[in-house]
Amino acid sequence: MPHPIVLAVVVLDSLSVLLILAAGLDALAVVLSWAPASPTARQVRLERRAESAALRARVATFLFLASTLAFVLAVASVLPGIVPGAMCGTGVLQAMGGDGPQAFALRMASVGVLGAWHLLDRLDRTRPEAPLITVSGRAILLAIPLVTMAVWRTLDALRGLEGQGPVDCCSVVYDGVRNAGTSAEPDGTWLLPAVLVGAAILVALGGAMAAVPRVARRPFTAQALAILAAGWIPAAAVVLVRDLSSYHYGVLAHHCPWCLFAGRHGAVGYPLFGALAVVALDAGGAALAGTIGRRFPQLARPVADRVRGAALRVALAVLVFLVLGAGPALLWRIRNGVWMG
Amino acid sequence: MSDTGLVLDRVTVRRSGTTGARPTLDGLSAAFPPGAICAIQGPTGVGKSTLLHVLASLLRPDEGRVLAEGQPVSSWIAAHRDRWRRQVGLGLQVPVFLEGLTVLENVMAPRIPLERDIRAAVEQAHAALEAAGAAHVADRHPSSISGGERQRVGLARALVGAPRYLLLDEPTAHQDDAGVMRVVDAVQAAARRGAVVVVATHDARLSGATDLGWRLDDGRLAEAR
Repeated sequence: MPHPIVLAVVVLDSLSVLLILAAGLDALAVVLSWAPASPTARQVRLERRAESAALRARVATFLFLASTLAFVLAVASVLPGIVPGAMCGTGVLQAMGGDGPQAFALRMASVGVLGAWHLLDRLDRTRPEAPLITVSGRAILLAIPLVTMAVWRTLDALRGLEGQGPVDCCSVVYDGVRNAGTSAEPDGTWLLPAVLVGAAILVALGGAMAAVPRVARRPFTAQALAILAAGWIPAAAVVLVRDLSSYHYGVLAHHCPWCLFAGRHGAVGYPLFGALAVVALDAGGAALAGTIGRRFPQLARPVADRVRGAALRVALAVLVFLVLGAGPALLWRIRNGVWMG
Repeated sequence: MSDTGLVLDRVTVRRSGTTGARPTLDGLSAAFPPGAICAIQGPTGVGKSTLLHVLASLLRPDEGRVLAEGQPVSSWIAAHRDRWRRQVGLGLQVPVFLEGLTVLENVMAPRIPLERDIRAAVEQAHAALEAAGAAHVADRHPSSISGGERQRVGLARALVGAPRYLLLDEPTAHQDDAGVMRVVDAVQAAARRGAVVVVATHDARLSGATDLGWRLDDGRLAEAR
């Protein structure tokens, strides 16, 4: 009998796939035959179908987000107690083979597309003539293969756990450290200051966009925020795991991302990686909204509101990441007078 | 073009399957301002009900558009049109009711999704029934009341919640002179509070109460006064 959280992931995933497929049928009809202001019964039916597509996609998005959260919770906090030899999510992913990382990658891509659809739908609803209805229909169609593949790989990953022999959780982490130590690559000490400078720029730019409407309306400001965030997020993740995690664990060379999710370390991985996810979604959303605003001038006002809201969330998420990620390092420095390592 | 009230802007409607025939409504333009009682008159079958359905955005014109406060509501998608239609009180020529409900519940029905407190919907329904002269049948079922009373209950349902746009189709059908006076009082009260009132009728008893009039004939609209 699978663990209840595994059952929850499977049920939520199955429902979200069914709903996004049903939404896709309506969205396909809308994309193919939409004729704005046409008086025909067919167009009136399409308007109803557009509404039901949006409703189904909204519920599917909610269920998929819930299943993704449940999947992370299962991998990080529940399954390590079940998979022999696993101390954290690293061991669980090791037991899942290649399917686990693929499932996570596909889930991230799906959440990105569903987030883009949600933004398009919200913008579309601000105008009664629904100028983005076919664009948001295409976004639903794009989400279908991604969500389906993400769910498929998740099921494969969970099936891979059955009958799995013991894993050697920490060897994955320490082999990685050993290989990095012997490689000829530069040591990357520049990355930490670069991440801090990038964070300062993101907070300043996001704050300025949120506080001064003129800055948010300026062409390509949202794109600049997104490009900066796209470079900053992977660097921040690397710095978190390589440099800052030591201060959470209290040991020098345990570069494991999944242990940050463990209760013994305050489950700080959830807000830290959650903050990175918020930065990714909102910076990408701001860039998408900026592009929409240039192509659809009638949406300029709601676009500006969205961009400002997204910029504010980016700035706040970066601050949360800095406080939670670097806070323990500063405390260590104050208490002990030296940095670790 | 007026940006208050309801405006017909070159509206053409063809009945389905009659592409080559003369349109039911042929390029109609007219403005129905707030605060005035506007009458559409004309013989039976000329398209008065169709015109009211177009004004209420129940039908989308084949050509032209309907503007409400300057906004082209007829070209809006269903979701926005439906929301706008919450401001419309529509009295049908042959009122249709939910027969399992009482008269009061039928009149309350349009307000139930819009009011947070059910008591507000009850009060509004009682007030509308009183204004339409149908308070005495509030607790009866629609199937047990006369044709004239059904017409008054239909009027009450159109009046409930003080709609911005009051569109009435033959509201004096099956009414005696006292009933006609009730209808006149109700529409005059609506006009006084600034509603857009459009009445489709061929009842000469109403003509004295109207402020603006049009005659619909052969698909065309002509000002009657």
